[in-house]
Amino acid sequence: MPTELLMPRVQPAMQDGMIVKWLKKEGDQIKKGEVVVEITSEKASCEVETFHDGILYKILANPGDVIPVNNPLAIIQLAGDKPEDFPGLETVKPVPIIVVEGKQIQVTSETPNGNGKIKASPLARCLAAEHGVDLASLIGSGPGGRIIKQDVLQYHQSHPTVAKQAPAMQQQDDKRIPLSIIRRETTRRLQLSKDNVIPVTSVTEINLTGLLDLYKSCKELWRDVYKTNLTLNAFFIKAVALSLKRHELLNSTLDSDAIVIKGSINIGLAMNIDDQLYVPVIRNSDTITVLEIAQRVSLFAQKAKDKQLTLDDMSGGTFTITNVGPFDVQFSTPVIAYPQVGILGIGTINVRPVYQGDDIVKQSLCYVSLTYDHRVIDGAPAAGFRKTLKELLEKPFVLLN
Amino acid sequence: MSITTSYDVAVIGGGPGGYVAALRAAQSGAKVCLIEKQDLGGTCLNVGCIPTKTFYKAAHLLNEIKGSAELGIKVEKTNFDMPRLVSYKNGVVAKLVQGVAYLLKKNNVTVIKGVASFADKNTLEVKTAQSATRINAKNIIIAAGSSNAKPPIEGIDGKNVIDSTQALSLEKLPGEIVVIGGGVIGAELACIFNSFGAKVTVLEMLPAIVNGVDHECQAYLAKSMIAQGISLLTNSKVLAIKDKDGRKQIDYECGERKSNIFADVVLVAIGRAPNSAQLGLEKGGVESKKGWIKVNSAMQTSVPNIYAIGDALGEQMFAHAAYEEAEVAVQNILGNPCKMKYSSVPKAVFTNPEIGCVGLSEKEAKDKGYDVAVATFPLHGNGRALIDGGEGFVKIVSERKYHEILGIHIVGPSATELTGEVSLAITSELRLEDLAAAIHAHPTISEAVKEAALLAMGRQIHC
Repeated sequence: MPTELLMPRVQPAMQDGMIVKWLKKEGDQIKKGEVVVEITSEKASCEVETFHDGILYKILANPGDVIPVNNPLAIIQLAGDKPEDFPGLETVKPVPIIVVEGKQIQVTSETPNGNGKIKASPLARCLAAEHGVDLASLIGSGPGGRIIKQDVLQYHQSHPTVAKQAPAMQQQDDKRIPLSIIRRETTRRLQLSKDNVIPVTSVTEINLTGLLDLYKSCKELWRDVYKTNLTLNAFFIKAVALSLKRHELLNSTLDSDAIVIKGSINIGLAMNIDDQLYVPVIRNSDTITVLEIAQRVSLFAQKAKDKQLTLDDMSGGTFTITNVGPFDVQFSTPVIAYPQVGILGIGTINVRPVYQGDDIVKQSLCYVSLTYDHRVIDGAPAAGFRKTLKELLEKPFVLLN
Repeated sequence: MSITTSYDVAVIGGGPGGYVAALRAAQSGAKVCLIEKQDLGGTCLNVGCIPTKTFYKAAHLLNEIKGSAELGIKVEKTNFDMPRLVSYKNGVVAKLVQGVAYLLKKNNVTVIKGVASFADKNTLEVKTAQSATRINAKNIIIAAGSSNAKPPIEGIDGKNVIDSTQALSLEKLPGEIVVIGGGVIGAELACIFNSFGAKVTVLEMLPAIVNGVDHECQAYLAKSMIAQGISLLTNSKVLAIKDKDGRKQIDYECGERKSNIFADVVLVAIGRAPNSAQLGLEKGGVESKKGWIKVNSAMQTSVPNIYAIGDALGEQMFAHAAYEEAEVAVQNILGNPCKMKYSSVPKAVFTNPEIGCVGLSEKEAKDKGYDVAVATFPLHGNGRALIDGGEGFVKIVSERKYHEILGIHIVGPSATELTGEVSLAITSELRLEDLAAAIHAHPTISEAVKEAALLAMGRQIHC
């Protein structure tokens, strides 16, 4: 019997995925464990392996197609299949998983680490999948904040699915751009933040003159010695990580009945690569050196360019930095990546004359904006964090320890 | 009037609901007093669950002895010593009551022996043996419990007409007993006294016994009781209890037909009545209906600072329901809003065979409009049940599309023990798949739960 290659569920909340590229073509021999197709979902690409030996008989979806989870992507002809087994493709049924020898489709990560885990009862999960309700947008009323059946049904009743709404009026001159999976995911997450977070932004000015000197002196040396492209962001990440270590409230999430201080400090760095927003995560930023951070940042940038970033690379963040300076932005009010509670926006560096005593000196100044979730953090602890950050960035040699 | 003492929480009644509420409130730092008019432990420990289960243990052992010859153990003669059993039971009860007293003391709960009644919504008057005292409390939890109800039947106050409390302290095993009422208490005591060797007849007004459990469980138990030699007279209404030649004559009607039966002792088990008459509820402003106290899902009465839990609500008269209600009441008092959920309160019936149920019966599920799928796994397909010589079944009522487990109903050996797993499954909203995926130890009766879940999905192995 021929079998089907199905769209895997890479993340619990995933509902569909988009075909990026077929690595095999129709008629190719494929081996168990071999990567056949690349898909993308939730901002990440991942590779889909086959768990059969056989021939890629028929490709059912083209690059760019969005296919629901568990729907077929291709038909695989197994050894021993005869031509008469393929009379009409629509009659082909997937082989029941219990009799298939082999392993589940391997993807880079089954579930995101850390705070991405959603507590929900099995029944609630089943109903949410059925009604197309995103569990991440629910607040659980069960024990320990667990999402239960009633939560899903209530949400479903009060939020009729988009599909049921009347399509927007189309005027002749309008152009409709279908949402890419990445765009859809971004809107979903932004909405989630809007719905759940009470953001407050405060801005401080930091003198980066010393940091720029240090950066310039390290940059060339590190490029030659370590083959590493150093950016200012590596310093920012390190400084933020150390500040978070001192002010751990900003490195937390809000559970239904508790503030959860995260065990590790994992900093997400927003990157714009080829007009796409990526936020890879530099794990344990507090315990690694600026050099290691720089190496990871440049590796991630390269991976993003090559569309090789994995879900793992982008999950588990506990705080985010977005450096909008290069876009000539003085300061911004960035949106918190819920369920994180803080994000730091870094503005353009301006050279300005500043009074130092009675003298006027040249200084490189930069506005840094901290947006924090007021439900968890009050003004005073936020100010404490900004103060530590400012001290570190103004005496940047500390960061090289 | 003596001095008034003030408390954060005053609890009326020291039964399972009351003492758990007092302990939980005290553990949370509240200043708590508990007023008990009789014995700590309430109905459950003194004249309910615990004594009945002691009797049940003896009855079960006698049944085992009766069947032991098949296992190669021949017991020549069995002497059943009723007073000895009663004294053993009293020992068990005393230990547990002491345990409750110890826990209350350890947690600094002030225990006052007396009868409490409301003066106003924050004040209780407590009449103790010596004097009367006033207690002022920010919050009051009524856990006054229930007592055996007494129906208005001619001759109900006569000699040798007893209730379940008296049945648990009998000095002599009666030769013939008529049990009026085939509810849980009536059926349990009927099975127990039948095992002790008495001739037992049950008179039940309704068409079925043990109302409130799934109809298949009712039918299975009824069949089984008849097979054990118990006479079951359903649709039978008692008209009068009379004395005749030193025995009791019970007149009853079954439809149009009037008849009578004779017995040495009449055991009245027609239900429970609330212990609310002495509470002066109206002075506290607490609403009630026929003495049963009305509460919302936070266990709050019509007066916001007065809560009520346990049997006095007439809701689910189980000690384990009262435990949970106590927890809910205290959490609400402490400012942690929560609601009582009754959907997974287990029903444990210690008849022969036992019944254990959690969730909706087949009929309830259908009445609620679910698309119901029913799977019944017979215990004769379970090795361990067969060894134990018991029969019965595990019945799962589930929702067809999403495989939601709506109710599980078990009859047979260890049925009451199995309610633990079942309650967890329903409370956690597990689906049939989850129950079937859990590995159950072999050879245990619990395997039947897994099998029933598989059967409900059409994937059974052992039937």
